[in-house]
Amino acid sequence: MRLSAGALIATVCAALLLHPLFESGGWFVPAALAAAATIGGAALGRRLSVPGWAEPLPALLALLVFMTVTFTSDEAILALIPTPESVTRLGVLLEAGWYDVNRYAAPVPPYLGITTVTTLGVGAVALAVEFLAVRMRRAALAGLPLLALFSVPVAVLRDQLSWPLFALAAAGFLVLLAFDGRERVGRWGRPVTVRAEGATPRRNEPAVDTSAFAGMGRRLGLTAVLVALVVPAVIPGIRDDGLFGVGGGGGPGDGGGTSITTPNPIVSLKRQLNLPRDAEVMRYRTGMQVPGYLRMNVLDAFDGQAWTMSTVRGGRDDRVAGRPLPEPQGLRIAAPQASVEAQISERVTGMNFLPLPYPTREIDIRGDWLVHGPTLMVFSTRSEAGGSTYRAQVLDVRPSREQLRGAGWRAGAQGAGRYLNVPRVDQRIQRLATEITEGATSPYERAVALQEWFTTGGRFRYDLTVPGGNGTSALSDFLLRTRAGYCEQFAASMALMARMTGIPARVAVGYTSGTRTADGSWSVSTRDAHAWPELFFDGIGWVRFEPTPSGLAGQGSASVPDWSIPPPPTPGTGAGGPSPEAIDPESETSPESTATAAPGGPERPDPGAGADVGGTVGPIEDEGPGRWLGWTALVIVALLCWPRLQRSAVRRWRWARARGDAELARAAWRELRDDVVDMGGEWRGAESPRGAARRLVERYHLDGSAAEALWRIALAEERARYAPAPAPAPALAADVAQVRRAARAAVRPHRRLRAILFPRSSLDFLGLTLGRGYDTLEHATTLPTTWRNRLRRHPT
Amino acid sequence: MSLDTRDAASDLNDLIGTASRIRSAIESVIEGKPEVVRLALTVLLAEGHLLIEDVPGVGKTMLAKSLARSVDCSVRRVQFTPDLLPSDITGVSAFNAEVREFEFKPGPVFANIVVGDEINRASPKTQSALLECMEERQVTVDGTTFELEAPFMVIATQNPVEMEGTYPLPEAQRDRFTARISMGYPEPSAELEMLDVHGTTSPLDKLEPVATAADVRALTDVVRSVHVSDAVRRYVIDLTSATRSAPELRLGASPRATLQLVRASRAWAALHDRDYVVPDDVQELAVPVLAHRLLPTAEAQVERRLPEQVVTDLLNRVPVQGRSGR
Repeated sequence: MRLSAGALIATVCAALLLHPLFESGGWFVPAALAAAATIGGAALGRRLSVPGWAEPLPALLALLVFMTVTFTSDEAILALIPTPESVTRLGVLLEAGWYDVNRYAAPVPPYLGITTVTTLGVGAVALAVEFLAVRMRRAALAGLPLLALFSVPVAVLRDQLSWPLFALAAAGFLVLLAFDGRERVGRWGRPVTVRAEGATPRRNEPAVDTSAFAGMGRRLGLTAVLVALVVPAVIPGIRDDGLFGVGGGGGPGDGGGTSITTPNPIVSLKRQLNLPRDAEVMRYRTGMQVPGYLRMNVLDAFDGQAWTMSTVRGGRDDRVAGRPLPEPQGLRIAAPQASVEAQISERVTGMNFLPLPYPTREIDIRGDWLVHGPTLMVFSTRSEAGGSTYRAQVLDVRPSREQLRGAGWRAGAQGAGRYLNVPRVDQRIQRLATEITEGATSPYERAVALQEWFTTGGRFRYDLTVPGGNGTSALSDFLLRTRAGYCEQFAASMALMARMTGIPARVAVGYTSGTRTADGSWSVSTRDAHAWPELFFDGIGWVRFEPTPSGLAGQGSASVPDWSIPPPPTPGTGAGGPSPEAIDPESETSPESTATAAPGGPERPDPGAGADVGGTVGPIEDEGPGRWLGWTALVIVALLCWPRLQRSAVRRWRWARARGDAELARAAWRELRDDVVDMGGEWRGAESPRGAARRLVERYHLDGSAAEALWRIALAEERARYAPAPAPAPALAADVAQVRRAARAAVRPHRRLRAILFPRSSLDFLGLTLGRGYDTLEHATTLPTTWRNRLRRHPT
Repeated sequence: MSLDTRDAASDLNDLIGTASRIRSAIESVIEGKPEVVRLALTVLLAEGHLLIEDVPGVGKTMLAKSLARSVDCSVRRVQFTPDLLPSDITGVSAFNAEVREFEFKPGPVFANIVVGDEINRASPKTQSALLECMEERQVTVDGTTFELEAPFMVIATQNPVEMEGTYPLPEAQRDRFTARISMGYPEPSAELEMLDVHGTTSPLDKLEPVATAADVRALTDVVRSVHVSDAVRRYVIDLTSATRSAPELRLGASPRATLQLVRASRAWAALHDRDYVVPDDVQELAVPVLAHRLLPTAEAQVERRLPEQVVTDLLNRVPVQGRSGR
């Protein structure tokens, strides 16, 4: 009975882990009831002594009946007994659910089909847990089906599971283990005692006194869960960051869920560039005179080994269908809108990220496509781009040099700070970047200087035969020695050096604008695959630069954007030149209009926060590890300080609450007890105040006034407890303090330190609370047995 | 003698004074055994009966006699032998030819202090003759009930049951003794001094009574007024119930044991100049008051687990309850 309850608790707690996969909690009640029905059916079957071979049948039957009652009662006899029709309908529901599961990204709405599948799944897990824990008496093995349940959200979300849910699931499993342990110890047997007649053992008396084991077990369990929670949080390497490793590794992951599987963008880029035959990837029409590049991926993190794409997640709210995309980051100047109609070649396979001009405002495409808010990448977990068409509204952002020059990056602007993270790299690169940008006053000028350095003076050679790589060593080789490479090295090193000089930067991967065909459309082919740096300017947003050589001796269709070309050296184009329009004919907007067009103002929250709304657990990492580490440190410090603070609070509270001599004596005695416990000393419940005083005087070698103070406390407590009237207690607080000082002086330094920093009485308080919770739980599970026994004794 | 007009403190002072007089009187005879003497005095003040068990020759009878003699009251001594009859203890009705009717000749039990020497040498039937008088403080012979005068105390000595020619006291009989104490061999220094003193004269001869029976009655009244808090009551009950559920014991402590433990604790507290009982009193007395009533199981006997050890273990385990249960 108790084991069955444990199995149920463990299953239900583990089922709670599925919560992040759903939009609402409607699925939970049927799932929990399915587990209860299954385990209840099994328990009933065992009670009815079903033959061994048929043991799983009652549980299966109970599950089937439960599924029938819950989901297909219309087709069943008496809404209860399954009929062929109801079973067929159940199959239909499961099929629909399976389809929905594969179609929707988590969190899914609790459609009937999905709920059916979930309920059946949880019921099946309950069946397995019950079989292992109760029938086979292998409660530890029951962790395996529970682990299966646990792995579903982990696999689907590819996300850090919320720790309270994990702790709950772990606690459920521990309860099962604890109940199993109790049964096991109980089966060691009952102590055989010949008692005097009439002395019947008390009911509900445990056969064996397991309290010592139980206390130890509780402590071990609590420690295990805490370690499981704290260690991954403290060691950043365990965190699942950077799903898409660019350099090394980074092969295709598993499918499923909302996470993206895509060929490594850089590897794909290199492969496409090296294809022997050119093949058309897509064709598009646009009203723009000079269309921008078509961006697919954004590699926003550089760890010294490679530029990688942060984990991309999306939920239901991130679907692109029928709604505008999030605001482009940092864009506050006006820009004309243009439409793009694109047809992606049917021969393209495995393309999960749409090649789109930046910034896209709206997109109309068939299939389940999601947008990643901070980068405006459009991706899908289900659909592939091959063969599809899309119509997009894009902004044709063409900032003027003057706008760029005036746009410094402000610290904290729109979460762009993390695009400045540079790990420890070759100092020579840093020196080089400083050297190149020497004399440039604004970020824009530094950016232009960097691009100039790459593209002019014949320093670099475009070479597709060099091995791929964009880690620090590859880049320093590229920058300082060989100076030969292709777009990957150019883009990666310019982005890195931009970061080094204080400009937020990232690497974009996709295609160039392609080539214009006779009918006015643009054709993009595999040879147009490209990587380029994007630099951030406050108020303008992400701006493309082009350090890769273009033309015949470079990336054929690459084009250097106008704004990144330094103005001709005419006098008067220095900072604050009077007429930027005059030298920037492309600019269609006046400076006046640019300032007013800010669609949300700088106070607008970072679009990155929008991804949270999708119901995924855990924030998308939008801030650097610094902040995260800070929080962790804060939590750890708080945890470390907590026992000390609690101890002080308890002390103050005790003294403040004590009224009258008796309560003062009581407070003093409890303080003394906690002080002794804090120092790792023993406190015996079977000891009287005198006995304790005698022992403590000896234990802590108290003499003179300290011993007298201790005796005063003990005798005051004795009188308060046992005498008709308590004795007046003038200075017990001072006595307690004196004894504490004297006792601390007598113990070893590490104990003294522990008493001050980690008072055990506070921890015992926590353990006591947990223990009480557990006892209540266990008591609750034995209630049915108790009631049954009572009913048997009183049949009426 | 009435003590009503006095306050509790002076009562207690009187008690301490009288008790210390009796104690020093006994200690002039029994040397080097202050705790045994104090226990004996406690039993006297708790209106109980004392069982002294030890090997022959360590001064059991001496203790009984000196306690009896230091109080100025009637003392009778019964030497128990296998052929002793019940009527030898309670008394007989004999036919008086002069008045031509039966006349009750009171036995040795009609005294304030009865010293039963080597009680376990008598047959169980004779031992049982003491049952009624010890508990109910009355004797019934031939349908007539005679009240016994207070104070009434039976001090019995016995040899360990392993000794030859002994009948073990039945459980019911043992349960009537408030405490069982054991003398133990004296310290070498005390034994040396004993040789010096006893070599010439018996110190018992020089012992003068230092208190009257009325004094003792007054003292028992003081003891009755000693405060026993709820916490201590609960502690005593926890302790005795623990003996009932201890796996090593076949028979636990009776409710009479609970009662006598509280009474003895009162006396012990009063002897320590306190008008309230603390758990330490209970703990001091638990072994002498409880151990002789407990029957170990066969397994415990095989393991040589004495009831004394079991009680000591329980004292280390049963929590002392404070007012709020902690």
